[in-house]
Amino acid sequence: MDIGIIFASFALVFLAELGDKTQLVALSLTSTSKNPFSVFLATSLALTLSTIIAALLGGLASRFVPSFTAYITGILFLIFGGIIIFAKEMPKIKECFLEAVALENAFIRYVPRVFEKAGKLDYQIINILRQEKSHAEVFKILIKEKKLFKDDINKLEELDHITKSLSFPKKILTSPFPIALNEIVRQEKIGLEVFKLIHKHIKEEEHHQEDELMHLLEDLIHEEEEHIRIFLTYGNEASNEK
Amino acid sequence: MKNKSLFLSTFLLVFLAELGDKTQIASFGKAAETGNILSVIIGGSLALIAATVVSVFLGHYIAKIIPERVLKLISGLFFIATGVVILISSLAG
Repeated sequence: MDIGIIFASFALVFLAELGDKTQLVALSLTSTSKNPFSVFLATSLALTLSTIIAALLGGLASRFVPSFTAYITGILFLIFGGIIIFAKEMPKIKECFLEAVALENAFIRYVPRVFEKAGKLDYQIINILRQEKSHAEVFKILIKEKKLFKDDINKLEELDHITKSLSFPKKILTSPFPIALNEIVRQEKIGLEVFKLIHKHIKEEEHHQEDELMHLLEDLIHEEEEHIRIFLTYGNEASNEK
Repeated sequence: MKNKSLFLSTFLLVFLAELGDKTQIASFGKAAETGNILSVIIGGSLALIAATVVSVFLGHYIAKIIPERVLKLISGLFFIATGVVILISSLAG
């Protein structure tokens, strides 16, 4: 290793790269996507790899780069350009529904394990899980029917907030029972908020002629409220045992 | 899922765009000139990562001032223009 050469290569490459297409790629992808970190990681890795190849092969490498890579690169740039200009953003409510399905699925997977580990898996919990499974189905149908996708519910700021909090941390599997239970209740409450938000929106706006969905949502809200009440009784038991 | 595809497509695009590009040729040159491959890899990689950090921060900042729709149009056109330039120059070469 030679600090002088490291510094010289650094200066040379850094200056050559300023304003280069790769840098502009990273710049425009970061500004148009919501995930700067992914762009950073991917770009850095690709550049590091190409430097390693360059250094290892020395001057010979330029002869080994097949000419068709330029065609692929050019076409990829065209495709990216098209995607950036024409891609439509996903409706916020769809994002929320998708997260909700993921949450319900994680719920069905993890909750029985948490209760089993604590020796508290009983028919009440099984019954809750049965109902949660049907909640996942409800969200799937809403997504399939593109329900509310073009509705002004997408403008609600609350929706962003709720969607962000819909995630079930895997760590509840290793947390002590009372903490895991707290997290389960917290997620149930967020699920309840989703149903309430949709219900309130459909009810307030008269142009929605959705009586069946209204009834379904009311049932779901009752179910979630009941689940929270039942889950909380396990918390009381746990603290009584101490 | 969404992040993974963003990651993979960015990686592929940058990697291919960089093959035979002037930065890579600069690294070739340095490696051939000094024969110190490891130092060139370290220096070159750090420079590229630093350049990426600069653009990512800049991009993140620009996204806050320029409206999304305008930004998407500009970036999209940049990509299409670059693609056309690459295709034309490789067809001509």
